[in-house]
Amino acid sequence: MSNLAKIADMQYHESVVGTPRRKVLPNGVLDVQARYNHPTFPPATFLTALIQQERFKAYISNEFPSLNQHLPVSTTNHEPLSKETNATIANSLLNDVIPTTIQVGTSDWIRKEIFPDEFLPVPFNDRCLDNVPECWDRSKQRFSNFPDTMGEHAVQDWLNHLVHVLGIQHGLIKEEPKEFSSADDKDVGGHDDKDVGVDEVDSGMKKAFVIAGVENRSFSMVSHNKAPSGAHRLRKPDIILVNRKLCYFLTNGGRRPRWHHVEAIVEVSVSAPRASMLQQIFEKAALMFETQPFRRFAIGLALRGTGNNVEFCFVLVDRAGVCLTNWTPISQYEAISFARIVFGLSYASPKFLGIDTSMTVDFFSGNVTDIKVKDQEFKVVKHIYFSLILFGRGTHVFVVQDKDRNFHVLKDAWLLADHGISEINILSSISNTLKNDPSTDAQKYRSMHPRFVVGEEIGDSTNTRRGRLANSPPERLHRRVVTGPVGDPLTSFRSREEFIKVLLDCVKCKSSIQYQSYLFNFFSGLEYLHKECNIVHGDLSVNNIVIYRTPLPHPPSRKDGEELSARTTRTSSAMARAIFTPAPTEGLKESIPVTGIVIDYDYARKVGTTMDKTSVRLRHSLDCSALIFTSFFTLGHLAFHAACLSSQKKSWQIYPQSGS
Amino acid sequence: MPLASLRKKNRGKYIHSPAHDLESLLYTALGIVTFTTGPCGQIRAPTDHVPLARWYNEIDREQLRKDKIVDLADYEEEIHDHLPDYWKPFSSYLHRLLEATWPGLNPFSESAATHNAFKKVLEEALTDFATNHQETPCNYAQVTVKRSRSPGNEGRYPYKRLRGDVSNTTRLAYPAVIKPLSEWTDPVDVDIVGSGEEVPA
Repeated sequence: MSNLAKIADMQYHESVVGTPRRKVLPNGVLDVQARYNHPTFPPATFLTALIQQERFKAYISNEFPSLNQHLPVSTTNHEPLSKETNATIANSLLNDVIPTTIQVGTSDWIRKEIFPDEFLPVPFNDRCLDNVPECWDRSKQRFSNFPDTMGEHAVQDWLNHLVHVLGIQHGLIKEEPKEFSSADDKDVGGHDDKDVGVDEVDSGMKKAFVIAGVENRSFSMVSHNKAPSGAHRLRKPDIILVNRKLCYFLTNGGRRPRWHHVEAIVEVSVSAPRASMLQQIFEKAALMFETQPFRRFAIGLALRGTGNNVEFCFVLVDRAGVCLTNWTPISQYEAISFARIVFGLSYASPKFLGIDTSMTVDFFSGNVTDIKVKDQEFKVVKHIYFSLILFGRGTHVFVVQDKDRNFHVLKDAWLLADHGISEINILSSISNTLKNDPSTDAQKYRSMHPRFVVGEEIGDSTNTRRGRLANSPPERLHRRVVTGPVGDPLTSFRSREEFIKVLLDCVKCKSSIQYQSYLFNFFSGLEYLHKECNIVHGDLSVNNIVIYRTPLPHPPSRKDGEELSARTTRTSSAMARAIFTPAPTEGLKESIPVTGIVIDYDYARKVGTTMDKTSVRLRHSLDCSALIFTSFFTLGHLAFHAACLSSQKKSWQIYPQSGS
Repeated sequence: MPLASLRKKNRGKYIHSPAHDLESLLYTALGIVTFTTGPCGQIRAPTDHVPLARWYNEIDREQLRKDKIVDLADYEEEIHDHLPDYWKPFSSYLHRLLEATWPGLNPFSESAATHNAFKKVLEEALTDFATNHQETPCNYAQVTVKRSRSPGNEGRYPYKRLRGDVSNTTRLAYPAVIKPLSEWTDPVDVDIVGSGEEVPA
């Protein structure tokens, strides 16, 4: 019997016997095997090739397309619908992204914290719909035109119609006849009270535009049967909120949206259970966070029911947890709150929809191109790491280039506020220790790894948007750190000898690396960290040890390297630097000096510190395992949450994460 | 993560010591040695059965601690036997690192790893591999040819023709007046901008 047949047989057997916990994954492997899934290590990319850009031009343009300005992005980047997941077990566990914390907000919370008048381009007028019979039924005090059928298409049209009405009523959409050459356009002052019948004559000619300086977004259902690309999982949000112009291209071009474009999600359903609709929103929010490093929080709307019994729920997801409103019927005051939300979603500036404006984003691709840290601007070379975990640090790592074309590593993360020492402090403490070291060794060595470039506490806390909601989850703060040097992942070792050297460097106090005729000495490794700086690292893993290499601009001289160094003068070395030889496409054979460097001091602390109770985030030798712990909650937990919500209890709770 | 941090008894009291950093370093080495079969990112076939894989998949910390202890204590059978051939010569040094961390290979005891012990073993390993197990280093920065799209294929991303279509500042029009929903057509759905873009059927 073939293996597949065996599995099918087992599956049949199980379905009869009834052990529902064992699922068969799409690839035909029984879920129990998941515990023997191999971990996924970082790919062996040679980031250090960036040091010699001319020499490794071919490699760099292949690996880091964004650096090569001449190629149009479209031809180099062919994006699969779903990427391979960084951790095998993550694939199965991502199915249950259940929040650790849920807080219940009210429409007051939305009015005061999420879309207050000062966040909107113009203050929201609660009476704006009263004179619009096309939209609002004054006797019943609810929307008069809400679709009878709760389909994506109907709801999309209704939402966009509402956006349009709100825009006109607030004076955000105005005719601008001079913008268009159509000569018969007469300048009509008032547009609110105009007779519809008159306009019918030249319908299609009368165009109005959103006034300058106001965002213009649109709801689109293109994604309901076409999963947006770029994320790790295939998910089809019913309706997405995207920039109106992009929306035009998506709809008219029959094109596929990217997750990078999605600004908010709307889920609609007639009768799906409330909990599962929320679950859908959480999952899709996770994909937004994964693909959008600039995302501070994600907004979702759930609409459920039919006819007059439609209820909605406003969901805000961020790195600390979830805030949502109670499910309320769309009528009376709540309908006006709903209109405020729609108004905010379509016209508010990006910052209030959860976008970090210190990152510059390419309009069409949605990729981050520049990141600001303090007053420095860094160009993104490659987005090398992102965490799949929705609730937690949410680390995004980039290789960036500064104005002087030097390369650094930029790390963007949400850290617990009471986490103890910040990485910025740790790194400066290490460099201070070195500066104040009077020993001749220290004076001689001087140089230090890791190198700290700039860091910034962005001053964005997960607590601010929670306002007066009680029982907030542990506060998280947005922090950005730029460090160096850029190293290759540990998996990129070129021989066993090199690997052992790297391990040794990580333990040793001092190490050195040769570059051309110079010998660079520096302090690195755990011994220095432990004994001199009195700091423990606390998070050593495959991801946090890198191989630092210093490739030369040209192959080493035919003669022995010693001879070269013996007669090195200032001019000859300058000349040597000017000459470069392009590396062959099959790679370099020559030996390149290496050293191992320990990076990522997020969890570093003084020797002898007890781990803070609130920061018992589970860490493992691999980041992927952390995912397991945070997303370990089963549907049972959600059911519990739902119960809490329906009984109106304030409920956020840190689950007993296996061992906190 | 260090065994001590997984221990139930240590909950809330766990103090990460330098020895634990070294212990983590050892796990990192074990991970690389077990799951790579060669230099430059040669990854082991995912179908290989490796006991150590459970370390990365176990959700339950207490169980993880037990798994780790047993695997470490039974080094020969659980770790050495499952090493790929490439790393077999390094096995004896790994064993010594383990001995340095838990004297007598008793993982129930606290980690006793010291920098000097680790350095000594690794330095010996380095000399051994530099002399007895020489290999040609894998090529640095090899350019792997990525799958390219056929030129005629209009890809879905990132809207190849989009760039030149409409400048970033152009705005899309709305109807100038409010109409009932039944008569509503969003100009987004119809091509009212009149850009040169022909709409695929």
